[in-house]
Amino acid sequence: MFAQTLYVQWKWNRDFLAFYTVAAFVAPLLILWIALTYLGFNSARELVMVGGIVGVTTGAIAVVAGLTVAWQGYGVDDHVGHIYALSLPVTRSRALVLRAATAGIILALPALGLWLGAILATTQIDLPPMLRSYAGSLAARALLAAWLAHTGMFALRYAAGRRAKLVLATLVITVGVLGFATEAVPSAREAIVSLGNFLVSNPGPFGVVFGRWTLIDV
Amino acid sequence: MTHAISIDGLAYRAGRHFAIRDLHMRVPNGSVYGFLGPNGSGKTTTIRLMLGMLPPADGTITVLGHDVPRGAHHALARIGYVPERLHLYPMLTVEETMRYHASFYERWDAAEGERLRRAFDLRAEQRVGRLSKGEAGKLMMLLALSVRPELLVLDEPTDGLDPVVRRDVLAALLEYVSSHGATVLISSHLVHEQERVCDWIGVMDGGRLVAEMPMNAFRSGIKRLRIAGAPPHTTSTPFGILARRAGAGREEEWVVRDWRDDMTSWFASGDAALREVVDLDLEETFVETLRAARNAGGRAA
Repeated sequence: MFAQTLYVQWKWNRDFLAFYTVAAFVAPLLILWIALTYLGFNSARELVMVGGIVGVTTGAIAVVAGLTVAWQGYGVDDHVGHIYALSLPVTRSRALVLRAATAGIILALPALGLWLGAILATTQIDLPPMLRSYAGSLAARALLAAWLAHTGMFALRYAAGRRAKLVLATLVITVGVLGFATEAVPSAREAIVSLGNFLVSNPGPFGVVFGRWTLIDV
Repeated sequence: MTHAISIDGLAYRAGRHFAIRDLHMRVPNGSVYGFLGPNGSGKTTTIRLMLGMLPPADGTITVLGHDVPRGAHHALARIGYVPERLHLYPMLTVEETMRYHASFYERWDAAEGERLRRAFDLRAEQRVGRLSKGEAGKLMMLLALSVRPELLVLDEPTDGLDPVVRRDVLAALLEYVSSHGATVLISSHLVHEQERVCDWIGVMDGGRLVAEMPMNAFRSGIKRLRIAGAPPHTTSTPFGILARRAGAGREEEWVVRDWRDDMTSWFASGDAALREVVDLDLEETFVETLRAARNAGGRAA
């Protein structure tokens, strides 16, 4: 059952997955090649900056890959009115776990492409002694970010329409109220900023996406 | 368990204009139950409710001994289901679809699936999204039969199919039912098709089950009578009058239910004369039942 679900997920998503895997593989090579060959970035400081550009670019690719696979994975059932999925003899929770788990596995492909591309890119340059390549860390982080993005989109799309709208509306209102409160209630500002920092930095829930992304660092 | 499907007090609402209200239904074990009704009467919604695809607002549903929707997955493992439209993943091939489907069913009969694929002339490598309507209907029937179901739920299984494909699909269905003794619920608005295969009939209209009875009772109990000198008002008759219409001259046509031959004596006791008793075919019976239900605003039989 799991293998067959994985196969269906793969067959449904493979075009997009191939694109994101190739993009994640090529991005480090291309960015480093342009930076070193055409822009002449060579100093340690400049290399760290270029590593950051690679990090942000590949991070964005990973997040978009996660979002796309969730969107597309839902589409395979939505396309046929969810009748097939609902008529199979499994509980809904088990069906959702199967879908989420198989999507998690195929999202490893862009991360694998990134890892190989990043290793290949950094072996082409002579890094100063104080700098190191973080290809493995970047790829692992890209995988986590892709999973996080996938989970968010997956939850929204598979929730019943009204519930998904309620969650979205609650999020928008909460963010709006907090934004207003930071300006209107100075005493609350520090607490709200702390909460925001916690959410978007490690080990907060969205730290994997919003923290600093880089391929090359000290 | 004497009923494959038991429904009591079922209620469901979809939007402002459609609702299923207080539905009671019994599908006897081993029967071929024809689920008749005009388009939009609630047949498909009722089927989806009984398979656990929709949550009922009220009432209880028991399918093959399992409460639905809570135990729907247990029941679904023993059910072959053919929906009204193609519900399979279009990017898979026929063979991949069979493999995927098989992985969910312990009872999957691979040899039977392959036999049916050849019998239905379906190419293994053909993509589902490129199947013709007839081929898609055959594939859905193949999947439903290959799980060796105790209950087959077929929602308009032959709608839109050409006569040859329809015959193939019905032949495969009847072959399975005769060899396995499965219960079949077959929803359709093609009344003549039901007449050939069904031994029980349920009629839906406007979200209500307006009639449910054995096919024999449904067909033989409803007659058209040609009566001369019919009284303007009838208060107590041994049969139910579904409709009265003016006929030629002083004659009237009555459509009655619960008719028996010995009831001709009722006319002898009055001024009216019974000229003729006409058997109705299933389609006429169906139409008269619906008409009577709509006039009465409720259950007809």
